[in-house]
Amino acid sequence: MHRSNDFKFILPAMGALAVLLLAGCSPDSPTWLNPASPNAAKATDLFNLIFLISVATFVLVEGLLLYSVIRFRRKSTDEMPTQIHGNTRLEIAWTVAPALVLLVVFGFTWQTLNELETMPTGGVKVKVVGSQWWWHVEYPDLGVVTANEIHVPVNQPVTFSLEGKDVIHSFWVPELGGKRDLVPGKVNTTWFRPTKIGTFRGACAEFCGSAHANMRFTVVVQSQDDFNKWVAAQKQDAAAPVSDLAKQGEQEFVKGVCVACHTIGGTAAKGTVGPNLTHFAARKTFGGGIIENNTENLKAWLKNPQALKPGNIMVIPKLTDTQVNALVEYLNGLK
Amino acid sequence: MTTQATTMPTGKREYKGLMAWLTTVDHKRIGILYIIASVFFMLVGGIEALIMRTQLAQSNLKLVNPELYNQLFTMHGTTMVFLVIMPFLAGLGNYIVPLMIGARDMAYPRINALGVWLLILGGIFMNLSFMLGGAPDAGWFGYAPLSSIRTAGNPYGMDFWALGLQILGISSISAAVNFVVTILWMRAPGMKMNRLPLFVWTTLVTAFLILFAMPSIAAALILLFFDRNFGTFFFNAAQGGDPLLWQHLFWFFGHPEVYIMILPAMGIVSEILPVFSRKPLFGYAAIAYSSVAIGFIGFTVWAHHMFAVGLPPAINAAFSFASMIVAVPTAIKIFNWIATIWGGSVNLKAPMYYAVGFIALFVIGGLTGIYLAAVPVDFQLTDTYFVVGHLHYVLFGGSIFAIFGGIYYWFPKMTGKLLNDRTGVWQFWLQFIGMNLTFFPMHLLGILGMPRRIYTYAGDLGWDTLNLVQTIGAYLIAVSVAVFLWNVYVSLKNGEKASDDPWDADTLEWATSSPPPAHNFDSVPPVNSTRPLWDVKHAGVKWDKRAESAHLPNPSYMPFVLAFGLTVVMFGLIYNPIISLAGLVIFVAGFAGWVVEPVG
Amino acid sequence: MEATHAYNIKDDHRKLGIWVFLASEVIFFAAIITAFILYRERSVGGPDPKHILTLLIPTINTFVLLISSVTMVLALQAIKEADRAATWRWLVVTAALGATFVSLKGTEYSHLFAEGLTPSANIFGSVYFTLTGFHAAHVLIGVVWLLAVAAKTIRGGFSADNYLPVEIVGLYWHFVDLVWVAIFMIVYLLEQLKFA
Repeated sequence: MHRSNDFKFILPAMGALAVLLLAGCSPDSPTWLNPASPNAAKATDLFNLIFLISVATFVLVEGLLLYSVIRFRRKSTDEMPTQIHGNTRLEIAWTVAPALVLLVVFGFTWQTLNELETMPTGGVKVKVVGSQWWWHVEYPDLGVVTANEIHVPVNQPVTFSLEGKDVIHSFWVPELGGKRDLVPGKVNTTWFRPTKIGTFRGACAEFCGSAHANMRFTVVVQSQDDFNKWVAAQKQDAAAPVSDLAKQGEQEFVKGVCVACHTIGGTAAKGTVGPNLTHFAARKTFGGGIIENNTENLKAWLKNPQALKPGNIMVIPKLTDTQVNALVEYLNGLK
Repeated sequence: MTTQATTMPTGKREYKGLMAWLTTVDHKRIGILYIIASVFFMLVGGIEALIMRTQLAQSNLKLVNPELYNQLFTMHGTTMVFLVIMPFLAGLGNYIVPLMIGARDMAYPRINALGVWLLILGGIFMNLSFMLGGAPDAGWFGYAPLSSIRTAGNPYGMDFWALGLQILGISSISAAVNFVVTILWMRAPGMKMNRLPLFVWTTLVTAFLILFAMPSIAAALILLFFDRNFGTFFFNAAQGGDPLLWQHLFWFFGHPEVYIMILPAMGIVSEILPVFSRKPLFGYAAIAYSSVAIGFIGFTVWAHHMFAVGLPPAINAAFSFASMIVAVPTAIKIFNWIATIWGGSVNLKAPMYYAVGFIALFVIGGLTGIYLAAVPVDFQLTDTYFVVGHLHYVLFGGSIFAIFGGIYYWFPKMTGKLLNDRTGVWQFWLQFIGMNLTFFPMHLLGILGMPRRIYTYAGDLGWDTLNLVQTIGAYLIAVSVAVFLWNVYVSLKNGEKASDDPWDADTLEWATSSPPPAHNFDSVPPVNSTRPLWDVKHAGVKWDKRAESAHLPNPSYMPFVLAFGLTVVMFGLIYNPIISLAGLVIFVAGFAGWVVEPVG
Repeated sequence: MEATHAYNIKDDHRKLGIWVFLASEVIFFAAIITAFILYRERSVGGPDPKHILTLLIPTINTFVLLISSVTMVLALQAIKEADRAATWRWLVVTAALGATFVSLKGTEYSHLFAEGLTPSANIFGSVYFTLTGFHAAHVLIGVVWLLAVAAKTIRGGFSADNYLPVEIVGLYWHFVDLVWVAIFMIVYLLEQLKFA
């Protein structure tokens, strides 16, 4: 028969669960529990309020449930409890109490929402266009065009205008702010003011096809000085290739299929299907924020882009080793 | 039992064996067909889940490519919603509701049969896509324009989805029409609305939800199919269309849909708790009215699935408010349930484990819903694993647990054998622990930045350990399902025979044999309260068991023919209009035959 | 013994099913009409929505359907008076009027195709053909249904006390007529009033 020894499962199970969960909590993750902007922090505050309320409710309700099942276990076969049908006062109490609690939660929700949706004045403006499966990044006021890596100065608001080119994508940098979708035919806006210097990981957060898992990006928050230097460098046309191998690479690029999709400022390459590569070597990642930008990875990518990012649009004819080496040499020079 | 009722001859037609099942219009057989189909599709959906969980167990695994993974998560969601939870509840409802109200059958027996054949054929239709070039792959809510653009690698997957769901939608609407009319007009004398069992109340509300929600997705699916196949521009922004129209139409259906999946489950819990606590349901009226309230409010919250799409903040706030309000009737129910158990004589058998487990897990799912209703928090949590965790707590911990409770509870009534209780409790614990291991960490993963619907993830994001735990949990759930199937097999073979009323229960389905005769009741006890059988056993109500005569409807081929014709039409819409024409001929033949044949 | 339906439900109550189903259909058409209203003026290119539609055929069709509702009422009246022959006649006339509606619609469609309006010409074409097309499909289903009920009538399937299927097809038919009136107003008349 099943007595209370069924429930001796519960505590060790919960303990094991707690250990496992804590093991999972890692500082590596892009989480807004480490907010790096007031917007993210406000969401975290609201989350914490709800967390407290939900834990209290959980303990109360689950406690009552567990108690009722254990305390009132049938002790004899013909035991007949009092046949109670209801209690109006209780009914009112447990209608009003949750309603009040939720009203409080809504009040804070409304307030926080209004703060988040009040657009700032000034600061940097960035236009992001999401395509399958990369991010076109443009600073219209500053004349900068890049891809997948967004630089912003610390302590200044940055306002994003978001457009979806083909399907719906979603722009999300957890540590800096909540998501906003990129919907074809609509221009959405979002903003945040980063307060910490560092590199923050973002991701597409709306399923957008085969390579959705590999559509990521980074936001690099820098000092105003560093940001200005970055902008100045980005505004330049592409650095001319220096070594012979690099010059060869430029030839390969311009003569080959690359120009169909990519732009390199100051050259004949003016394609817009794929990311702008003018300052490719200045970026820490490529492939939509997923691959570390180094020679070995770049070679692997050019040999077989599909292997590193299955399903992506970059489908190119097979390149010889010579071609790959030349192209890599060239691309590495595009700082 | 006393004298057998005289069953009037059913007319000239009488079938045996497979034909009998194909032409049945008996709600009990139809219910069993629904349930068997649900179990089958649960295994399909479960395998899809296991493959995904295995792929995600560690970072950068290459078990499946992204194209297959996307088909898996799309079909897992679609299958579990439309081919498992909905038909399970429709099946239990079909079997039990007429019995609970003392009726002989449903109001429209042939439409009832149509529903189950459409379900079975629709489910097969959709799943055939796996072998015909690719299954649907744009997610179970199929956002346009991803879903409305045909891709070369998988040209027909989403067409199978759009057309398959139309078939299933018609199935649901058929069932809903039946439930409304049956419940409103075929109750036994004395069974006023305020004496209806809660399972019947929730089935009634659910039927109305289906009637008013499904047409919205039907319209959306038509627009989607047309964009994909006839060059229309409904979701094409460059030509004046709006991808958000899809979302509004889908979620206008999609949110009531989740209440369609949970309300009957709550009804099952409301049946089990009083019987296994030996007390009446606490706050019957409150629970009944709360169910109705949830139904109404459920139609006003749909855009909480769309908080991040860029709607004006005032609109987001309004939907946020409504989404929080809808928690109140649910809270009322939970407190009333606990009060039902409180002070009772609790008999912890498998059905009761599941009912209590439902409450425990649904509370968690409901609480995580509050985070999602708070718009600024939702901006962080939407489209992450937090939502996946939330939805599985309410749909697995909620609906599925209640369904298993209902199965353990009503299995003896339907088969005449009891499911082994010990095994049932083992199944419960495996499922409970497995479920928590699988779905609780998902909330953390969402907070740690893991988006939904990704086939793999990098190793430097700190997500590996939790994913591994989840995969282990998923396998544990698989074991629990195996235990269930084993229990069914063994119990059908050698299980303890069930009497009419093995649980000492309260409602009318236990006032007839296990299983009931074709005409359901030899005689129906008088109904003076919500617990007519209890009253006979414990409150001195007299039950005159003189048998009444019964007349049963004729079996019919037409529902199957109609369903088959419609399915063939759908095939033709994908492959060749001539096939559709053939399907139309079959459909019209079935339709005409249906109208013309004698009903009996 | 009560009629043929001995599952203890009166014919009057069995009518609830068709009402409930029609309520569901209202939502369906409402969704498509909403799409129509949203999209009618958002075309990029293609024939001008304001001037492409003509009123002659739709107006005739409106009369056709309205008269068919009258003949449907007459059919129901006839079976209540046990006049099976008259019932059959009126049902067939109703079906014929329905078929007339559909074929006139077909003519209208071919004119529009010739003028360059197709579902893929522009978004107005998309919504116009979808909305009117699905309505026409409902009329067609109604025609088949009417003929089936007519067939059963002539084979003696109904009587003065037992005619529920005639009533049910009638309710469906009137509903389809009402939807047409709504479409006629929203799709055709509104355009003319706005842009005449």
